[in-house]
Amino acid sequence: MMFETIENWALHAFADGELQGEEKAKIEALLATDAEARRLLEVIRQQKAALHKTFDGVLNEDVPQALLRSARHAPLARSWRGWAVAASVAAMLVGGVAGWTLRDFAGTSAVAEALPQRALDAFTVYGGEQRHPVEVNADEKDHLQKWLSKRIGVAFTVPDLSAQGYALIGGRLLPQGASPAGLLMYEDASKKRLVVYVAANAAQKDAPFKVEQHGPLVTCSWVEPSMIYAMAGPQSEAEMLPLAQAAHQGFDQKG
Amino acid sequence: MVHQDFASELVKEIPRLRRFARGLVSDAALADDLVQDCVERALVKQHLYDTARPLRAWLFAILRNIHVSQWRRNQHFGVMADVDGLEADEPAVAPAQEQNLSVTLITDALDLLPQPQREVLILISLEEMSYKEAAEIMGVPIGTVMSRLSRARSNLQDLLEKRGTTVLRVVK
Repeated sequence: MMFETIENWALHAFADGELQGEEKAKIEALLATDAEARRLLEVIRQQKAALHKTFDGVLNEDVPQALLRSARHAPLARSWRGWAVAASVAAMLVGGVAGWTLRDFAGTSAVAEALPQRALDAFTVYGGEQRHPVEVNADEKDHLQKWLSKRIGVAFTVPDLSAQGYALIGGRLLPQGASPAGLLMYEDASKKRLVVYVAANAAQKDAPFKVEQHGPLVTCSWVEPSMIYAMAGPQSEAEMLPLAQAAHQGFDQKG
Repeated sequence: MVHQDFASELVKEIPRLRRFARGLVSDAALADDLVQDCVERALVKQHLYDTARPLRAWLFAILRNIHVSQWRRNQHFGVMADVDGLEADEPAVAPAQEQNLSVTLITDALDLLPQPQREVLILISLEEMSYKEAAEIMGVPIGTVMSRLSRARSNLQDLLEKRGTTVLRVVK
């Protein structure tokens, strides 16, 4: 099989309708004289026909009702399932998550909508900072915890993500409008960073766990009656979910 | 809020999303789960959709990203098919019809292709995406699309020919 040579790329491009004008004419001329080229083209066409034969039946099947319902429902009501998938990953790791998962999400506030962006902004501004990524270093963790808890007005524990391979660098205070918010920063052995944004929840309403891709960054956010949480970093979703679960569990140790 | 136009355009794309998903994963139920996750994510992210670009390619990219992250996770947990094992206890399937390109043979051969080759083949040979669209969907340069594609076609052909002769030997 001679498919892997540079010359044959043009033949693939021809078969896939990528060639125009002179380039196309060149291949047509080659095909007129070269039996091997004709054979390769035939193989490509047979493969295409075989793939269509194998998979085209799906196009004529009735679309499952569950899929149609997903597409027609409003995202927040509908996001239940996608969110539940994420949460089920979480639930495998931690018991007692039901209170977190089985809430009524109808009243999701604007806070929840804006939350991923806050974490993204924090990551963008501080995530690449070399000399001053944080105000208070990890070696003063107890102070950091007390200080941020006091400023935010909600007592919380700084989560330990070391089991997930992330060490605390430290944290800082952030303004969120005229209110204080806290930022915790973590880093893994390859210097990949992760920020965790926390603030008090003025709305006193909770919202579903949400995972979103924003270009190269992923955010995870969730809202509890007392506090709002959002994480952001260059991790994949698969990496982020266990981190979010560990953070959720860590914060929960408060009080 | 779901923008109604967006939702109805999305519904129209579902059959194509289902075929694409079926090409990526052979199990029909898993493929539909992938479509469902894709639809859900598309609705959540609809504000990020650039209406100047084709909706189908945008949806394909979402579906593909979900698939790749699930695939990586499965690979991590060792759920990947054991290629050597598959070769060893090859079932004596019915003799191949039509130049070894029966549905079963194609499905089996696709399962043996490395994931990046399988996806490029499905995107271009089945879904008839342009090289440029495929490059955007997979997040790689066009040159990578072309080299993966030629390797994928070459490997697929080798697998089909090998499988075909094996089957013939068994039948004899």
